[in-house]
Amino acid sequence: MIRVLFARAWRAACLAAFVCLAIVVAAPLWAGRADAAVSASCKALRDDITKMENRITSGAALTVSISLRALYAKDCLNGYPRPSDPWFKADGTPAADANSAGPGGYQAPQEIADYCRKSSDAYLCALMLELGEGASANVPDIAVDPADELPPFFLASGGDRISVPDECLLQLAARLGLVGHVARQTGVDCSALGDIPEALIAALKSGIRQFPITALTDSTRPTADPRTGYQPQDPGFLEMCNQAAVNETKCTQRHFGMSDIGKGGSSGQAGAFNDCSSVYAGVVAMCKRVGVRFAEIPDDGRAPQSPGPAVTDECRRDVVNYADAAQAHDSGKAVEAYRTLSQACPDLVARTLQRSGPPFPERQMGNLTRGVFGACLADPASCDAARNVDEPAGGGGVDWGQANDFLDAMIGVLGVAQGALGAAQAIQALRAPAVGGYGSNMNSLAAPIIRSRPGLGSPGTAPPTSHSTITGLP
Amino acid sequence: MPRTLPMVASLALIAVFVLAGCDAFTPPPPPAYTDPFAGLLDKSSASAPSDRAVAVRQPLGVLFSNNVETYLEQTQKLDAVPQKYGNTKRVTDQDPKFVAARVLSIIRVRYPQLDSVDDFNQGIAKGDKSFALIDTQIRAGWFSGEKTTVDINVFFFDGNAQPLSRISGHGTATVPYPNTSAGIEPATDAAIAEIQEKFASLLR
Repeated sequence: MIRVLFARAWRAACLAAFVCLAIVVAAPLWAGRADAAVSASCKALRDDITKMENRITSGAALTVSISLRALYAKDCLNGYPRPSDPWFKADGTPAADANSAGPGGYQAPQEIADYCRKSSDAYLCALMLELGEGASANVPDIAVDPADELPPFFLASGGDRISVPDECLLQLAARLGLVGHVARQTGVDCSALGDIPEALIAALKSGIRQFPITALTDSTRPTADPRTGYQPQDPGFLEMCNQAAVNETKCTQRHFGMSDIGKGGSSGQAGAFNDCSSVYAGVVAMCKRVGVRFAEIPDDGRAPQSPGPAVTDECRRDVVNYADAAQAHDSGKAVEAYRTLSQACPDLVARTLQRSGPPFPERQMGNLTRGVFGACLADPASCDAARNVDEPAGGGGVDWGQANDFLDAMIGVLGVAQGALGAAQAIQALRAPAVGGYGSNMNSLAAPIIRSRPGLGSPGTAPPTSHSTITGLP
Repeated sequence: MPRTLPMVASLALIAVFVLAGCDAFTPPPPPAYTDPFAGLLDKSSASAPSDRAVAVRQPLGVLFSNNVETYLEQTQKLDAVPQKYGNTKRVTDQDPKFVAARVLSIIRVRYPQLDSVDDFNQGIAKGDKSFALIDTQIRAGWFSGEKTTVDINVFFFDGNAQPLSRISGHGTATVPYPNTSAGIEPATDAAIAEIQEKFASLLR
């Protein structure tokens, strides 16, 4: 019962993260007009980041939050043009809208337009500045509406709650043991982190340690939504990790595959793939920290080293399927996946076999051990309290696997489950109108991305119904 | 005839109770423990030197031998009979959380950065600098006068899963009359006390 409730709560949290990621990459595709400074997709992203952080308050998904917050700041707060930005004619004079801007018309923040009006080619000036090509000293300061900013990141445990500014999140992650040592940034004051009580840090760490116990047991496979046909409707943690790994590879390949227009880079179309790769790398890193192992997929965010023949996405998918089945000890599926792999991707199989296996035998901790010793390790206070040796004889004669643990856990779980249920319903309602023809599964996230830029058409145009062919990729 | 009938009926009734009780009081077979390294390393635990001083680095990956799972499975079986008859004292005595709390607390007090891992591959991937393999081999006596033994082994490894030291503790207890408790708690305390003493002189 406890496992089921935890799994449900976790899946809902996964779903929140999942939809966040979907919106991150899909956002530029369907950005529409909006009255606010940021686009509707950015608002949706902001809401989903907030929901995810409200669901996982222990900090277990802190590194993913850091990636998403950085991306939001980059693409939504500092990304131009924004839907509310005015239009200008080719010579830099204001225009009422896209239609009246005429040939060479462009949309840009007022600050950039003012700066570029002095240029001999105002359109090109605005384009370069918005692509981040101009020297940083030349880029005007552009005000950000406080209403568009994300709410401060927070962590909570028991009745304690702390807020942490974005610039200090990496140091917080280091203090929670999620990342290694982080060098102090000059000009950033994170001294408030030192005021966080050790007891709260210990409680948060306990929650983070508990996280893998439930996450790794959630091997739910995606199921189709009969109303929309989108998959997955309810992704499990392992499925989410696998798809993140596959999509990270795709985005990395596409990022470095754009050699004819700049050999990677961090702006424009290549930058979008770079962002995509970075976001999934964050998810993959979280999965690895939890204990998920991945198959032969480049996982370091760099361009795949390919002295041998190229490996197709289908082959990589087959590898994931094989590894998934092997990890689940499903010999039938593993053999079937291996057969498919051998026929479709013989080179990859040969290279895989050349590599040595894991250095030590692989073993899963027993469920009883995980439940008793693992739980004591994650939360020693509860273990000591549940097992008070000084109690009178006969007073503590309870089934250790059912009574006390169940009640203790239920108190905490009910609140989480209740909130998660609401989040899942909200996300479900959000999904259908938001993602349009692109679906919401993580495969769609790896699709080519077109950012709204001057000269690339009005951001108010309807979202395309097929993937862009600008990169020549399917 | 009228006088013998109640006597026969009484004897039959007693026989029924005795036979029924015999089944209920049959203890489960003792657990079959294996080498603590089984499933984790392709070598025997005998390769680990005993009681050698060791410098432990953190984060410390904590593993549990398959014997821990065996013991917990045994505990579930052992719980069935005393629960059925309301012997809560025995159930309390063999509560595995007692052993878990005792073992983990003496490690945690020295090395707070503990990290539970399934196997060495996972721990190495997560960046653990040292490892501790916890092995418990508990044989609970059942009838009055039988011995209960608790053997706790803590193996320390370096970051490359090379065994550095084996530190063990042993405790015993005698099942009292009536057999309301197996004496696992006092035996565990004795084993833990022995390990603590060794920890003080061997761990850095």
